[in-house]
This record gives sequence, structure tokens and C-alpha cells, in this order.
Amino acid sequence: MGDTDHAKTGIVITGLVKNFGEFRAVDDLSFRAEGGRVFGLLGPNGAGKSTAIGCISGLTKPTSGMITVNDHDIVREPRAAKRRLGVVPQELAIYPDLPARDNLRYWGAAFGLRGEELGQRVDDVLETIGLVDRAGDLPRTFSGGMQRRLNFGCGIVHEPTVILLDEPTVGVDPQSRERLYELVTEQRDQGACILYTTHYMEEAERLCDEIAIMDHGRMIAHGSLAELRQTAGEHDHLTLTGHFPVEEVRPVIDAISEPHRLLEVLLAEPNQLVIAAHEASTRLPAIFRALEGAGARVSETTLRRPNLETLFIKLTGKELRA
Amino acid sequence: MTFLLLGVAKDISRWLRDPVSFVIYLLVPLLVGGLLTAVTGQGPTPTGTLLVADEDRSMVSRLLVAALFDADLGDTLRVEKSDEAGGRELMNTGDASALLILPDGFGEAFLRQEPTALVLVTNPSEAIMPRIIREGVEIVVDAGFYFQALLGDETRAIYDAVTGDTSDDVDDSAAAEGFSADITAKVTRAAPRLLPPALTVELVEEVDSEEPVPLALLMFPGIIMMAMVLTAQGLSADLWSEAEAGTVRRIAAAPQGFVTSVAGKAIAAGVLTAGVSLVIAALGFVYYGLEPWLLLPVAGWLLICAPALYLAFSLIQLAAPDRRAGAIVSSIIMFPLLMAGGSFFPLEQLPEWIAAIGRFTPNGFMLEQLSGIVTTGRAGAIAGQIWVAMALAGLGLFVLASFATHRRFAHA
Repeated sequence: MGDTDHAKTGIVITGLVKNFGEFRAVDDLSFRAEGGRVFGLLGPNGAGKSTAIGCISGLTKPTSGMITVNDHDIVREPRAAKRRLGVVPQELAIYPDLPARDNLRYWGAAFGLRGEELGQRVDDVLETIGLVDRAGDLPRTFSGGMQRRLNFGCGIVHEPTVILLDEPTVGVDPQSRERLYELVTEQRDQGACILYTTHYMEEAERLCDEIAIMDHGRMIAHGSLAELRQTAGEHDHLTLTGHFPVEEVRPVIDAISEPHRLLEVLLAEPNQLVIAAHEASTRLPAIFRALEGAGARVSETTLRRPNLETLFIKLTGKELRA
Repeated sequence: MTFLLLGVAKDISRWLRDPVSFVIYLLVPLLVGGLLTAVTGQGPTPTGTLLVADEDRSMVSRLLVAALFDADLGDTLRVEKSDEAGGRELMNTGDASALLILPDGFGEAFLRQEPTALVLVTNPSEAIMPRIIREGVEIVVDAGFYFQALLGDETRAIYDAVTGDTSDDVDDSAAAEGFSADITAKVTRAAPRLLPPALTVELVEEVDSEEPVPLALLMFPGIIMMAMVLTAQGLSADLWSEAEAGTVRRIAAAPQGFVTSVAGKAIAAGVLTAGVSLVIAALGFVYYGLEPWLLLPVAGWLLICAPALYLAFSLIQLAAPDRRAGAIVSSIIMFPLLMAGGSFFPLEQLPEWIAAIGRFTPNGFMLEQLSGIVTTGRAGAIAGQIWVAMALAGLGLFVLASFATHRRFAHA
């Protein structure tokens, strides 16, 4: 796994800014990801996660700020930094018409592996990703999950100390997703620093030791899962769909919330209403009565315990997957 | 080096999984070449004219000329008498394949077993006929030598008798009987032990001849180049496959692999493109009856040109906004290149202004050098500086293509 002291530092990002013309894709992003931990970078599509990954992997030159990988500046020492990086891109960046074993050999050689070491690592990775018996087959004949595993294997064949995983489970069936989770935790347990971007909150809650939430290029929340849950508060989130006269709804909910502010309208739109409520299940009858009085018509109700999704709604006033 | 070799093997292995494309790259030039050859009516059977200038006008020289006229060469070779000056004039205007000069005193020297030489002037713009003629003349000369070695004394005696160089007291009928008996005995005894001939044919190549090369042979290098251009253009589209799969970006994230990966791709494309062209070349060599060893310089030239051609088409692909546009633009460029560059019609047959443009196209330039080897039969037809220039051009295209690929596809 390389030099342990360096590996512990993982990724350090300080004041990262990336502009595309007038558009600021990443705005003053700073965080530190340690070895042996999974750092989650969450946010909706267009939040700036992939641009940040591009900057960290050296594919996109930052407008300003600094990125180090195991203490090596990605701009000033790109070779040293890249040698320690394993990138697992969102797309299947493998050769579908090249046998799985040859894919691994090619990507291993691209990161400097040679001879016996290369052969041994290829065998190890085939074992790790569970493709030993399909090593000689073409990936185009694989299932989507197997292709994802090979894509992952190509990113770790050179034993990187820092692994960038850019939405690795997009379009993957539940069974293959479980296998990918196992692969990620295996790498973390071996000491790798893993930066994991996703817009699946449940994935982040399950895998990540530390999480940063991005929106519009900025980091809007950062901390461990426990810390973020605390930020989200103890309130349940009640999501109602139907027809809501927005101007009338807020006052009636505020009225039944007093005096202890037990209810709070997080999002009020003509077809959706999101309310943060302490012990929401006990207050449902009162809420429905108030809404009925305001002329609202409810067609569906969802009650969620506090989680990252509810935190995101609380922080941004919108759904994460919107 | 490991990564470079794996890169080359990777692309060759991937591309060969699509054999249909390679069959097309092979069949289209063969089909076009076959059709054009059929349409122009210029089959591969060469015909030629041998001019014989008998400056000696002796009995021996007349016998040799008669032997050449009697040689049964069907439609392949026509033998015509000429004087030396007239013969050289016909050679210069390209109306003959070779001129055989029997110098004054040849017969006398032949009979007296003194050193002598026949002069054979051949047309360098013809690859096949001069060789056939030279071999034919050597056969006749060999026969003359054997005759001389076997029956030189008798022939000389007969010659002397006919020309009146003998003493008056010789009995003619007794002498004739003696010649007859000697000739019969020698022919039956001495034939297996004859020595190699002392008489030689001196080969002189005419350098300024304007004799046109047969049309079918002129088209041959164009067919080879067509295979090369088709293959290079087809393989260059693979850049889009790599870009769409994200493998270009992935390799750009590797510490030092990007330029090496482009080099690997260019080498792989070069090997396959040259390979396809070489198959066409080999078939043509068999069909046209060319010297097999000339395939070596041809292969060398194809190997040095193929990566450059692939990289040039890659740059065209990289200039296009997407795969579809890349395919359209590269095809739009490819067909005029093939037309002007001498693949459909030989440069020699095109209007001069089109041929002048064609010679400046990459494939036209490559074709012209190739023609130098194929039509003249000279391995060294391509000058050393041309080889160096082509290698440097390939290197320049490689630098440009590496830069353009990175700029176009490697950024996130």
C-alpha cells in the first residue's frame, strides 16, 4: 500500500476553485480525506462533484487552490501524485473487446507495473473482483455488474493509496451493488483513502466515515454521519404530494406548530409539501385537518426519519435527486 | 516498454476481432483494381520489341539474327532489324524494349575464339520485357558458344574455304567428307563436357527513355495505396470508441501513459495497415510476375508510411465535433485523395494539373515512391533522404496527434 505516513494523509484540498468561463463549477472547496476511511462527496447532478474529481485526478487544471495526494501536489508533481491514485470513473472505462485479464494487465502497466509483479497483481485483482473464471472472456459478454467490477479492478490493480470512485453504482443491480460495497470496504480496511461521490444518500450513510455535501459548487455541510444527523435534527420529515394553495398552507401549519415550534415547513410547492415534525406520526391528524381547512388536497404521504436526504432538503430547500 | 508493447498488442487484438472490416479493406482495392484492369484492357501479359542492329553483317552475325527471328516467342516478343542509330532513336521514343547491337568484327572474333561482346541496351521503364529479352539473347549466345567450342575448327575451315583463304591444292570433296565425319563424331562425344561460355552479353541500361510502363502495372501501386488509405481511415475512427468509453481520460490519469498509449496505437495501426497493403502487394507481385525480393523494400516503405497515414486521419477525426462528423469528414477527404493521389487512375494517365496536385497529397507522394520500386524493379528507387523525410513526417504527426488527442479527449 506504499508509504504508510504518506498514505495516512490521503487527499488534502485547500480553497479549490474551478471556473469554466463565467461559470464557477467548484467554489472554494476545502477538505481533508484520511487513509483507511471512506470520504463521501454528496450532491445532486451539477453540484460540482465530478469537476472536483477531475481536478483531484489531474485531468482538470484548477483555477486556484491546492490539491495534494499523499503530500504530492497534483499540479506541481503530477507523476508522483498520479502514481498513488486509482481512478474508477463513472463510465465503464474498460475495453469491451479485450479479455478481462488483458484489460487488467494493460491498466496495471499504465501505472508502471511490470513482469511478475504485474502478473501477480492481475491474478490477485481477478480474485478480489470475482472474475477468475471469466478472466479470458470479453467484457462485452459480461453482465452490467461484472463490467462494473472489472472497471473497479482496473482502478486498483496498481495498489493505489488513494482511490477516487465517481458514482460507481449508477445503473447497477442491487446484487452487484452489494458486491461493490464489499470491494470498497475491503480497500478501506487495507488502508486506502477512498473518495466516494454519489447522489444516493443511503449509499453514503452505509459506506462513508465522513461526508461533505455539495451544491452549486460549494460545500454546504461536512462532518461524520453522526454529526450531520445531529445537524439534521431529531425531526421527522413528512412529504405530502397533491394540490396545495401555497399562500394558505404556511400560516395554518405555523398556527398548529405553536407554541413549541414542533412543525416547520421546509418546502411548499403547488404539488408538494415537506414538513419537519417532532414525532410526526402523532401529529398527522392535526396536520391533515389544517390542510383540509386551507383547501389542500393530499394524495400521498411519506414519513421519513432524519437522514442525509432530509438534511439536504433542510439545507437547500430542495430534493437531492431533483 | 512493457506498456508500449501491451498497448500495441491490445489494439491489434481488438481490431482483429472485427475481421469483416479487414476483408473490406482487402476486397475493395482488389475489386476496383480488377475492374479497372478489365476496363482498360491492359492485362498483365507484357509484349515487347527487340531491335537487332547487325553492324557486322558476317555469316555468323546473320546466323545469330536468324536464330533470334526463329525463336518462337509468340505474341510476347517481336524482333525487328534496325541499324544502331535508328535503333537508339526508337529506344529514345519508347518504341522498343531493347536494342541488341552486333558490333563490326563480331563474326571474325567469334570464329577465331577471340574475346568479343554483344551490346544489349534495355529500357529501364519496363520491368519485365528487358529481362525476358536478356535471358533470350543469352540462350542464343550460349548456343553459339557451344557450337563454337564443339565445331570451331570445322566452321573456321569451312569459312576459310568459302572465303577462299585455303591453298589451291586442297581436294574440296575430301575436305567436305572430313568435316562431316568430324562434326558427327564431336557432336556425339563432347556435348556433356562443355565449359561455360566465354562470350558475354554486356547489359547497358538506357537512362533517358520515355517508354511508358504498361497501364496495368502503373495501376498496381495505386491499388496498394488504396488498401492503405482505406485501412488507415477505418482504424482512425477507433479514437471515438476510446473517447466514448472514457479510456482516454482514464489513461490521462495515469502517471506517464498518455503519449505511450498514442504511440502504441499508431504502431498497431501501422502494422495492420501495412499488413493489409502488403497482402495486396504480394498478390500483385505474383500476378504481375515481379521479383519477390522487391517485396522487402516495398514492405519497408509501407511500414514507414502506414503510421503516418493513420496519424493524419486521426488528426482529421480529432478536428470533427463527433464520431459521425468524423466519419463523414474523413470519407469526404479520403475519396478525392484516392482520386487525385493515383489510386483510381495512375498519376501518369491523369491530366498534368491533377497529377501535379496528386503528387503533393500524402498518398500521392507515397504512391510515387512505391511506383519507383514496382515499375522499375530497383530496390533503391527511393532515395535515402525520402525515407528520412517520411520518418520525420510521421514523428511530427505523432507529436501533433498526441497533443490533439489529449486536448480533445483527456480533460474531464
